[in-house]
Parts: sequence; structure tokens; C-alpha cells
Amino acid sequence: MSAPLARVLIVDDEPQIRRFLRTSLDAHGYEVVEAEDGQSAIKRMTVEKPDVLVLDLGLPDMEGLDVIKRVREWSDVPIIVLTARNREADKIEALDRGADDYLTKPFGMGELMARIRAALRHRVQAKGAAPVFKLGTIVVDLVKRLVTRDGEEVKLSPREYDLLRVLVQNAGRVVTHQQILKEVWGPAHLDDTQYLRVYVGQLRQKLEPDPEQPKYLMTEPGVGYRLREDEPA
Amino acid sequence: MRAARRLADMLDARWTAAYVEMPRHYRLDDAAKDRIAGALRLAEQLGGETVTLPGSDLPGELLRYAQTHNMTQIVIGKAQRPRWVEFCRPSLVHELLRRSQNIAIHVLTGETEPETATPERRPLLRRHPAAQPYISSTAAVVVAGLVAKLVEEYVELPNLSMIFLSAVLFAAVSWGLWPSIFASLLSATVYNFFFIPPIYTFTIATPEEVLSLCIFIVVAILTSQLAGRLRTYAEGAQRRVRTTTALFEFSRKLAASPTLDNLLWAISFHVAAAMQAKVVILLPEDGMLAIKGSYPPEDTLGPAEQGAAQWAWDHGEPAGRYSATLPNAEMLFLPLKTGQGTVGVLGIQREKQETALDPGERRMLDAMVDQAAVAVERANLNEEMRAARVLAETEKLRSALLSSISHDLRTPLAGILGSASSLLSNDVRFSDQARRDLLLTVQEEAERLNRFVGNLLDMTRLESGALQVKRDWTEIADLVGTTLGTVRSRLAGREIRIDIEPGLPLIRVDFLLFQQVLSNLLDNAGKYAPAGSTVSVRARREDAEVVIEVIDEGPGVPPDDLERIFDKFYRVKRLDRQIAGTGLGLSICRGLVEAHGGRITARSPVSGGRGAAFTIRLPVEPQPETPPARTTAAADTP
Repeated sequence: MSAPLARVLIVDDEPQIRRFLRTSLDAHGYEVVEAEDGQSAIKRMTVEKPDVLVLDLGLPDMEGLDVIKRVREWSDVPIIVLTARNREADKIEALDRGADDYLTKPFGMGELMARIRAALRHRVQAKGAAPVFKLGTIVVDLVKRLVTRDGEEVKLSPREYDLLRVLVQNAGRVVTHQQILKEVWGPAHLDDTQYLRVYVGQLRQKLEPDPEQPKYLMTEPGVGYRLREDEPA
Repeated sequence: MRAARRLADMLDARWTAAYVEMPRHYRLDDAAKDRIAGALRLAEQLGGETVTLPGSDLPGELLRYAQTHNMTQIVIGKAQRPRWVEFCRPSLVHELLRRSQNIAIHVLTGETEPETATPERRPLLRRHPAAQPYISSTAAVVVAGLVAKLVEEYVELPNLSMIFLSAVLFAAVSWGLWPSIFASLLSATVYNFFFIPPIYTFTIATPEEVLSLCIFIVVAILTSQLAGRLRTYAEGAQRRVRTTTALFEFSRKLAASPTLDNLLWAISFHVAAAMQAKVVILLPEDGMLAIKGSYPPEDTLGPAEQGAAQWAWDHGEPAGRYSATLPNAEMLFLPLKTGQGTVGVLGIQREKQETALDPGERRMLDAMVDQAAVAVERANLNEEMRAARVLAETEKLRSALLSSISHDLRTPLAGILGSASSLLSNDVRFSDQARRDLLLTVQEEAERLNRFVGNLLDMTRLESGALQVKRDWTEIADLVGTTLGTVRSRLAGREIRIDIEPGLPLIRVDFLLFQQVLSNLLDNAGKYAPAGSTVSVRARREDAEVVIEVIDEGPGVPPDDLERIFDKFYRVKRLDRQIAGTGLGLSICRGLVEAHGGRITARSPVSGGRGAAFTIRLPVEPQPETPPARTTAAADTP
């Protein structure tokens, strides 16, 4: 039996959720530890030292958001939160507090796996991302600041490039509107989502095979954007 | 009749045609009776009410009726009669004028318009009422004397006294005891003076004369007593008939009242009019008695009255003034009792406080109270029935809804459970393909269930007003593209065409909610569009609006249903097959679109007699500040 890919701590008060997560993660080669509330989650964190934390926000004893805050005080372990429908504010709050990604219940395992992989990869790599990012026929070379598609250079304005860079550096993970705006336009523009709309639209026009049905640069409704890191199934 | 109707219209008042049925009318021939019936029918046709009053005192009956029913005008026709007849017997008009108090009398003579006579104008003949019978008796005796004189030659003397006897009888019957005694004395005197020899002298010579005088007097007394008794009986009978008529009218009025409030007012008004009193009606409300109807209008009762009313209610017996219980209260309270129990309390306060109700009046009041009780109970039952019917309808609707929702929840669950249990069963070995099919079913049905639950939740939030619309600048192409990504699998087999005008303004919407709208519309298209057909999504600008359309090539929507499909739980009735789904999607779309200040409509057919197009219109808002133009060397270093 090969070594586990990573150790995952799943925190959810519903036994059925824990059961199917454990079964699937185990089948994918992950080692699984469980907790059913916030306090025991924090304890298991210190004892087991997992590589990634999958955390349900609706916990009985304390707010999932508080767990994130506590954990982030001494650990930068990747955190993926599980939330209910129509709780965008919670999602954004969680991401702001340091969570890496989110999933809306009910979700498919494929999505969870993809996000766990992305989260792990980003932690494994140093803050400096891999210099070259490939997706489909698109190649982004962060060192040379060069973007090509089907081998041909794609001309991007500085803002467009910055936007792409932020997404590439977080490839596979969601980036909130706020985060993008802060990084690309500065803290004074946190409310100017219209900038994002326009620039994302332009990027899609230049990079997507079918700009009207994007498959790489995805909108996360109410939260932000996500650049896929592999071709969709 | 017509003049009365004109007057009533002018005064904007109700009017009633009254027919006083006097004893002599029973002997009218058919032609006359027909004329009377015809007149009454005409009155009803002209919009008045009719009433028949039994009685012998024509003006008295008319005035009594008028007064108890608060009539203010009487319209009457006057026949032309010679003056001397007027002298002997005053006409109806004069009697009315004399005895009416504050009722205006309008007199119609012949073809002329009615002249209004005010009560102050006295009639032509001024008479002292009390003297009239005596004068008439005198006249009768005089007439008898004249007749006797005429037949003196042909008849024996003693027989002439019969003629005077007739006069005495006449006086006894017409005017009672004392006028008849007066007539008998007068007759005896005249007989003696003019007929008994020696004539022109008052001598009582023979015993026959004494005898005839005595007989006159005895006859006078007996006859007048008899007549008096008859009259009393007749009056008693008339009074009973009046009472019965009044009660009959009362019950008719009650039966005609459409609502409880109308009923209570009718009861109060008519009892007040009949009894010359103030009336209040109390019904139970929240465990206490409250005034629900009154005439004249009244809101509150004093504490003594409250106590009496409460006692009457609690014990089902009269209480208050004139009764054995709490006689200090100003009103008499009678419980409204039926076979089922007490439904309320009626309070009555006579205008002339001192006079207690005489037995006749008390019987009438009791009869009215009984009728009122039955009417109130009937009104209550009607109300209960109506409420029960509404409840039944609501229940029916609710249970239909529940069964529809239950069906839409259970169907996907059936698929999931069925597939999962199949896979778990040890009896069968499934091929990989079969296993995959079953698992796909599980996944698809679970997703369908998820969508349905989402719709239910959205509906609930929309209804309860808990919907929070977070609007932010959104690109339509982004919205369409993202939504298509989520529904693609359900639209498999259909071609999807996107036609978005370039350069459309940004719209300020809640991305997730609008995604829901488009998703529902596309789901609908997916359900109804046959495989191989095209589903189009179009967006364009039209003046001050942005228009987004979802068009399918399915069977379309019948014209009558184009608005109704946006109703909650509405499904187009289709004979061939029932499309799955509880019919929430479009009503949610409408709710969400309208929450953004937009409109959504349906159009069908679209082309070739088929298809349906759903159009969303949103007002274009002033665009936000455009991003600053590109600046050189503005990129951050990683």
C-alpha cells in the first residue's frame, strides 16, 4: 500500500457527510481523520497535524468562521469550507479570514477532489508560483510576462495581465472580487466590481475558445472568479 | 300614485301605498276589489311598498301607521263632494288635517297638481269634536220626524214611533250610549210634540206615551250596549289583525336583510318604531356582551344597564325596568332565545318611561323578540356556513398543493432509492454499463431534487419578503455563460444558440438570483423543447431597456395561459402527458425579476405555430465610472 497522498481532517457534525467523505477520500488515497465540532477540530489539528482541513461552516458549538480564525493564528494549513446555498456572505468572510476555497452543499466529489488538490499544491509551492502555467493551448510565463495561445502571443494590457497573473497564482482556487481588486487596482477600489466585469470580459474574449461559454475563467457567483487548472471533464 | 312617486323621488325617500280595509269593503263587488288590487300593484310597479291596514277609522288608521313608521308626508286624493255632505260628514282630508301632527298632507284634486296643506290651516268647517255625535243624532231624529210626518196619514199613530225607533237605533249603533239616549229623549219629545194629540204640546196623557218613551230609552240603552260591545270586539279583532300584520311585515323585513349588520339594524328600527322606544341589541363578542345594533344609534350602556343585560344573558330571563330583576335599570332587557340557546339580548327603553307595557304590547314585543332571535341565529349560521366553506376551499387547495409538492419530492427520491437499493442487492450482478446507468440516475435525480428544494426555498423567501437582493454590476454575457455551464447537461440533445449584442451596458443585479431566473427558464426550455431543436438565448438593447430572451421550439403555450403560467403552481393542462414539476419555476422568475425592477412576459407561438419565448426587460441604469485608461508601468511585480 502506497503512502497516503495527504492527511485530511474533515470536520462536520453530520455523520452521513463524514461517512461519504471518508469513504471517497480514502478511496482516492488520502488518510482521513474526523472531528464533529469546533473544539475537537482545534484539538485534532494540534495533535494530528493534517495537511488539509475540510471544514463545515455550520457547526453546533462554535462558528466555523471562528475555527478558521483560531487555526490561522498558528497554522497556514489549507482550509476548504463547506457551506449551504445562498450564504455568499459567509463564503466571502471565510475566504477573507484565510480559507483557501469553498464548496456549496450539495456538491460532487469531483469538485472536492479538485479543490483539495489545488489547495495542497499551492501550499506545497512557495509563495512564488510555478513560473509557467499551462491550460489547454494557453501558456502563461510569469517570468517573461508572456502569454501565448496556440503558440501565438496574446497582447494584454498591463491591467489585464495583472488580473490574469492573480488568477494564475491562485489557479484552481477561488479569488474573491475584493482580493483581485486590491491586488490589481489597489485598496481604494474595493467596490468597483464593474472594473472586474469589463476586464474579465476582455480576457475571456482573448483567451477562451468560446468567450460566451467560458470553460477556463469561471465566475463564482457572488464571490469572485476561479481559473481552472485543468481541462474540464 | 304617480304624484306620490314623484314626490318621493324629489325628496329621495321611500314611499308606501296604504289601503285601509274597512268593514264595508268586505262587501265590495269584484270590479271594485279588482280596482283596488290594481292600484296596489301599480304602486309596487312604481317602486313603492304596499300595506293593507284593517280598521274602521280611516284617518285614524292612516295616521297611526304613518306615525309608527316615521312617515313625514301623506299624499291623498280628494273627491269632489257637495258642500252639504261635507257638513254632515267631514271628509277624509279634513280629518287627516285635523289629526295629523307633524305630517305634511298633500292633496290632489282632480287633474291638478297636489297642493300642500300645512297642518296649521284649519279645514273649512270648524267643529267641536265632542258635539258632533249629538248634532248628528239631532239630525237623525229630525229626519225621522219628517218621514213620520209624511206617512202620518197612512199609518196608525203608534206605528209612527217605529220610525223614531229607527233613529234611536241608528244613533246607538253609530255613536254609542249617550248620543243614543239623547236621541231617544229627543225622539220621545218630538213624537210627543208633533204627533201625539194634542199636537204641538208636551203632554204625557196616556200610558202608551209613557210606555213608548220608556221603550225608546230601553231600546236605546240595550242597542247601544250591544253596539258598543260589538264595536269593542271589532276593535279588538282589528287590533289583533294589526298586530299580526305588523309582525308579518317585521318578519318580512328581517328575512330580507342580507347581512347580520343589516338584520340588527332592521330589528332595532322596527321594534323601536312599533314600541315607540329606544332599542339596543347586544351580541356576545370575545366572551362579553357588546352593542351590535341600536336605534337610535348608541354605543355604550350605563353600568346598571350592563348588569341587567348580563343577567338577562346569563339566566335567559328578562331583567331591568318593569321586571323582577334589577328594576332600577333604565332599560328592559329581553334575552333572544331560540331552541338552541340564547343568541343575544335586546334592550328597550320607552320614550314615555312611566308607562309600562300593557299586556297586548308586551305580547307583541315578545313575538318580535322571538322572531329577532331566530333571525339572528339564522344569520350566525349563515356566517358559520360561509366560513366553513372558505375553510374547506382553502383546505382543498392546501391539500392539492401538498400532494403536488409531495409528488415532486418523492419522485426523484424513488429514483434514487430504487437505483441505490438495486446496486446494493446481492441477487444480481450488474454489468459496468448497467451499474453506471443506475448511478447516473442517482446523481441526476438527486440534482433534480436539489433544484426543486431550491425552488421551494426561493418561493418561501419571496413570499415572506425575506429575499435580500444584493445588486452588483454584472455583464450579461457572463451571466448567460455561467448559467449555461450549470444547465448544459439538462439541455443535452438540443442545440444552444447564443446571440448577445456586443457592447451591452452592465446591469445591476444579484448574480445568483438572476442566474436562478435564467436557469429556471432554460430548465423549462429543456423540458418542453424536443430533442434536436434549438434553444436560443438572446440579449439586446431596446431604448432604455435591456432585453434578455430565452426561446424554445417546443409545443408552445396556449394564448389564454400566457399570463397564468406565471402563477404559483400553475401547470398548463395537457391531455397527452403531464410534464413533471410543481410549476414554481416561472412564478419564481417573475418574483425575482420584479424584485429587480424588471418585467417578464411570455410570447407564444414564436414561429411556424410553435415555440415559446420568455422575455425579461430590465431598465438600463446609469453606467458606473469606466475603469481608468491603461497607464504605463502600472503592473505590480509578483
